[in-house]
Amino acid sequence: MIAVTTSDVALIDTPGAGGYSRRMDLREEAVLLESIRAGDQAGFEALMRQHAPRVVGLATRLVGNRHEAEDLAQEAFLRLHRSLPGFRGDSSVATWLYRTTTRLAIDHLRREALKRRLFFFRQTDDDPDPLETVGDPRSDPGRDLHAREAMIRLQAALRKLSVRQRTVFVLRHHEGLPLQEIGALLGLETGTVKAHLHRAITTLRAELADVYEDLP
Amino acid sequence: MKPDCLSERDLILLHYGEAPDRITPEAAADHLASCDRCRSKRDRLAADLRRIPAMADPDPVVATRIAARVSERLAQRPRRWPLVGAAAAGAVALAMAVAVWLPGAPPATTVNRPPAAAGEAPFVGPPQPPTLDLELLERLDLLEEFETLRALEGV
Repeated sequence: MIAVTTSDVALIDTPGAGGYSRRMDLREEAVLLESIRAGDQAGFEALMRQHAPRVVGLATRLVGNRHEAEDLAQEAFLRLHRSLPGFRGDSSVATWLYRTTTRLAIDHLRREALKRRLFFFRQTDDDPDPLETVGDPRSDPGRDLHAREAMIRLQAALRKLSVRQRTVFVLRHHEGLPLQEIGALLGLETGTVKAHLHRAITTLRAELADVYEDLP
Repeated sequence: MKPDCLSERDLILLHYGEAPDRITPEAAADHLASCDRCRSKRDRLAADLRRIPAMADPDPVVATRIAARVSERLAQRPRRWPLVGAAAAGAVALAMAVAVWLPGAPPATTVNRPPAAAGEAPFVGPPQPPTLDLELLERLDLLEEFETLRALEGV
């Protein structure tokens, strides 16, 4: 039996730079989880549809590629399904997915960095347009050329950062996570997180300086 | 530049609403109110960070696609755990059986024990094999033959 009172409503996501904020009724979630554990596959699909946009969005911002982000999201949901029998509800599903997706993305970025070092692989202008892969499909097809250029340059600049610098920057700037929470998520001291954020922004500003000059 | 001017790191932290390292947020605000240079640096930083393009969450079509893919993977995944568990239990049982019946392995009932102390209940082992009784009978037969020979000699 689930003993969650009606007042058990938790803020599960920190408002991000884009103003993302959502409240999740933990009681509803607990009921849904119990139903999924009892074999309700449709319930799990509903849970995935509810969280997938956020998970894919986070993974896309972290790895910079929509297709890879979808693969990471898929893996995160498979892990969630495997973990459900022992899921104690210490954190909400959203928090669990947030943490798992971030860790999967970090592992992915580290593997990619290692591959680049081992095989002298460099992403070039021939690689897929970042805007095509990460852009919002609902946006105007005749989108601004400056925005396209800025997105390409941003992805290139983000690749110049270390995995930690990039992760800290994305989690702080795009996701709006406080530095203390980022430290807890990555297992780093807040001072170290501050240092990574500072280095990341210094590098990005230097890399994007000419883009800034062109932009209004 | 004033000696108490804010560093770029402090300006970044203040921009994100985080506490700077060596100054309280209130003192930083006081300084910014009086220092054109720091204010200008802060405004330039804020403008640069605002221009970093945002990457929006995908539309719900992506969610439906992901959900379908994961469901497909889950459906393909064989429910192996009960079989694996049964196989593991079988393997353990087999290993124990082999260990017990392995040729040359000392039987559990022939463990050397110290001699029973006075008053202590003697160790009762398993029934001895019938070979001991046969040996005794053979010895008795030999004794009988020996007695017969002695009797003949005495004649």
